[in-house]
Amino acid sequence: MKPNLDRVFSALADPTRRRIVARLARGEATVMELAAPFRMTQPSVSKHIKVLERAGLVSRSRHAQTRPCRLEPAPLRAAMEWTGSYRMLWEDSFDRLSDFLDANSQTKKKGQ
Amino acid sequence: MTGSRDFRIFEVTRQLRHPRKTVWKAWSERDQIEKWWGPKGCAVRALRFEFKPGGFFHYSMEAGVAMWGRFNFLEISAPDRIVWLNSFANRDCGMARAPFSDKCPLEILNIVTFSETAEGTTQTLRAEPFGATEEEKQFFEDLCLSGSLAQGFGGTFDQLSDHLNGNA
Repeated sequence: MKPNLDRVFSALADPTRRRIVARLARGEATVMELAAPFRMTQPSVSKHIKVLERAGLVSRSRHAQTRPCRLEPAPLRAAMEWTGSYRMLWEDSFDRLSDFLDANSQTKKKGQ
Repeated sequence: MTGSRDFRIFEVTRQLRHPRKTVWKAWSERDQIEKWWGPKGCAVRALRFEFKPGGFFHYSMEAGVAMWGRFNFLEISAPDRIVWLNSFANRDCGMARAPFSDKCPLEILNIVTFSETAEGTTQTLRAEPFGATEEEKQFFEDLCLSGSLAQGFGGTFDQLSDHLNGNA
């Protein structure tokens, strides 16, 4: 499924959900494990997880009873590529242009 | 054509320690532009390069998957100004939607200017969506150019980027 960037960004607009995402970046966790450090009830963590699931950011295992949550990298990668991507594209290209011109003028000097 | 336009949303300036005519060559010659232009980590190859008004620079970007893009040159005023429309493309140089979103403007109008300085050349690129709907303009401004979003998510994104790189 193509990541829906609107959903991804609105899911990430909430600081608690960003913290959950950051926690899941370190590995799978159950709702109970996620609730503990945030001093939140399990139902309210579940609500946040549902938003992240709808954005495609998190998936939950169907096999274990605790249904651990895991981070899905595809939509995040799309979001990160897009955030500032046009600027990054040009800043990176200008870096390479600068190096390219430097290398070129060195070669010319050596050739003379 | 720049008079009525509002380029506040995107401007990148770079000082280069090289004469303007050298910088111009890096933009105007096929075997030079493909060496520096393009997304990080992508091997860019020029498939078509017609450096004249109405001409196309069609390129492939290889990074695991193949993507294509194109410049459609509108104005070329040596040695100080190039105007072109940039978009994603298909393999035949037809215009294409961004692979990551259907809300991304189809085309971006770019203007690069070169001015001589005592140390070399000042290169300034300005850009804005071209022919975009309000929704597409908003998308470009919100996500790409304000920078505030990237900053707001900065901490999270740094961690995530390590994670994603590890997973890549």
